[in-house]
Amino acid sequence: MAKDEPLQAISSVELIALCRSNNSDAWDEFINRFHRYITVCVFRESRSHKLDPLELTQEVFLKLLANDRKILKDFHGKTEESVFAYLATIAYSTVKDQIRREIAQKRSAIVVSLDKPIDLQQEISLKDILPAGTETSPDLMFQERIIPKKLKELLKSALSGANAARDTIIFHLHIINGLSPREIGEMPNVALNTNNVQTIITRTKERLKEVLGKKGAVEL
Amino acid sequence: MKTKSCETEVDVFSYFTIARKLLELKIMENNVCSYEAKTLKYFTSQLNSDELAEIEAHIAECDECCNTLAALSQMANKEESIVEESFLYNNLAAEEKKIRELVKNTLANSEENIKESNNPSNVVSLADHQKSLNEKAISKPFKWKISQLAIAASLAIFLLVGAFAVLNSQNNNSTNETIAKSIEVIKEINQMGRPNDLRISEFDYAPSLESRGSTEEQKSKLATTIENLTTEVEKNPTPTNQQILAKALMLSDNHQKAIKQLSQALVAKPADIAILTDLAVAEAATKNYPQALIYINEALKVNPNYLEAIFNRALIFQQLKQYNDARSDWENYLKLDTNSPWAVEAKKQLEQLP
Repeated sequence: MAKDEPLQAISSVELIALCRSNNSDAWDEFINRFHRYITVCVFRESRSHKLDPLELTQEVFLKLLANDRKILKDFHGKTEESVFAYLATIAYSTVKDQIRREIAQKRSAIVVSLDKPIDLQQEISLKDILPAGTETSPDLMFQERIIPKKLKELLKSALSGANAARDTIIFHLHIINGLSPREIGEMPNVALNTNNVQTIITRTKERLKEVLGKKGAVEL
Repeated sequence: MKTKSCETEVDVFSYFTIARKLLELKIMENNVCSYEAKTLKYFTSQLNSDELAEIEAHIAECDECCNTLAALSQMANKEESIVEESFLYNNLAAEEKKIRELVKNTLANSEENIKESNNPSNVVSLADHQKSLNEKAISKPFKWKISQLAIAASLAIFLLVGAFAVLNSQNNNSTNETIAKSIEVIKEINQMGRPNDLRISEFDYAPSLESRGSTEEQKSKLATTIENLTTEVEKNPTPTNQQILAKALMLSDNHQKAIKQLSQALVAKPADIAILTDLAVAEAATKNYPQALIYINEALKVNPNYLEAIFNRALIFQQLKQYNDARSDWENYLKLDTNSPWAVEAKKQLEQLP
C-alpha cells in the first residue's frame, strides 16, 4: 500500500491487516465496507431460527474485536474473495453458537418424566398416552441410517483417483444441498469455473449409473 | 434384477430426494461435527496441503460438514434478495451508528488497558517526576510577590478540588461497599452447591449438586445482588465489575447474559485467565462444549498450571468423550493439587473414566 493512498482505495486484505491494530480510521472503513455484508450473512442464517439478526451482528463485531483482534490476526487469506468468505464463516459460527445455546436451554428447561404416573389412581404415565414420535418410526430410522450410508458407498465405488474426495463433495453439494454449479465454483476452496463443476457433476452421474447398472437397482 | 438405464435413473433420483429430506432433518437437530472448525477453514482456503487432504476426505464422508459448506456458500452470496434489501433499508442506518459506537468504545477500552498493563514504567516515572517536582517546590523560596487575587483563586480551586475529591471518595466507598457485599452474597450462595460441575474462577470448594438447595431468601438475595451489580456495571463497566456480575448471573442459571458480560470483559482484558475460565464455564453450562474448549485452551496458554482451567478442561473433554485427553488432564491436575477437596473430586472423576 502506498503511503498516501486513501483507505477507500486499499484492498480488503490490506484493510484487514490495518484493522489488526487499534487503527480507528481503518475500522471506520471496515464498517463502511463490510457492515452491510455481515448483516446480510447473519440475517440469512438467523431468520429461520427467529433470532435477532441485529443483536447477532453486534456480536460478530465483538468477536472480531475480542482477544486483541485475534480473529483478524489469524486470517491468512490473500484475495478479496477470501476476506468475504472469512467474514461469512465468522458470522456463521456466531449464529450457530447462539442456536446451540438456545437449543441447550430449551432442552434443559422442559423435563417431564414419561414414567411418572400422571393419574395416581389409575397409574397412567405420559408414555402410555402419547403416540410414538416420528423419530422412532422404524421406516424413518431405516432410511436415516441406511440411505445416506448406501449413497456414500456408491460414490466411493464410482469415484477414484486423487480428486475423488473433492468430486464427492461437489456432487453432494449439487444434488443433495441444491447448490448450482456456479455457486459451487464461486466457493473459494473449490477454485473451478462453472463449466468444470458442471463436467464433474455430469461425469459423477454417469459413473453412478454405471455402478448401479453393474450392481442392479434392486440391491438399493 | 433391474438393469434398464431409465429405471436406474429413477431409483437414483428418488434416492436423492429422500437423502435431501434426511439432511433437512439433521439440520433441524443441529448436530455438531468435531470437524466443524476445520470445515470453516477449508471454506476460506486456509489449510495446508496435508490438512486439506484430511478434511476433504472427511467432508466427503460427512453430511453435516457438506451441509455446513452449502450453508456458508449460500450465506456468502453477495446478491441480495428483495426481503434482504427491505430488511437492510429499514435497519442498516440505525444499526451502523450503534456498531460505530461499539467499535469506538471497544478500541478505546482496549487501548487504555494496553497502556495500563504494558507500561508500568510510565506510572513509576510519572510518580518520580511528581516527587522531584515537589522536592523542587519545597526547596524554592516562597515568593511573596504573588498577588492576593492569585492566592484567592488558588484557594477557591483548592476548595473545589477538595470537595470533588470528598464526594468522589464517598461515591467510590459506596461502590466498593456494593461490590464487596455482592461478592459475599455470591460466595455464600455458591457454597450451597456450584451451578455445574465446572469450577468458577477464584471460588472456594463447593460440592456440585444437581439442583441447588437455595432457599427463597437466598434466591431473592441473589436477585437483589444482580440488580445492584447491573446498576454498578452500567455506571462503571470495568472488566472486574462485569466479571462479578457474570458470576452472579451464572449462579442464577442465566448463562447467556453471563456470556455477554464476560465477552465484553474479555475485549478489554484479552489475556485474563479468570475471565477466560469463567467464559468456558458459562459456555459449558449451555452445552456449547467446543466453544468452552477454545476458551479453556486460551486460559491454559496464559498459565498452563492454572488449577481451575485444568480441572475444567478435563470435564469438558469428558463431555466431548475425549477420554484420553481427560485422563491426562486429571493426572496432571493431581500432580499439582494433591489434597484439596477439589483433588478428591478429581480422583473420583479419574477412577470413573471408561
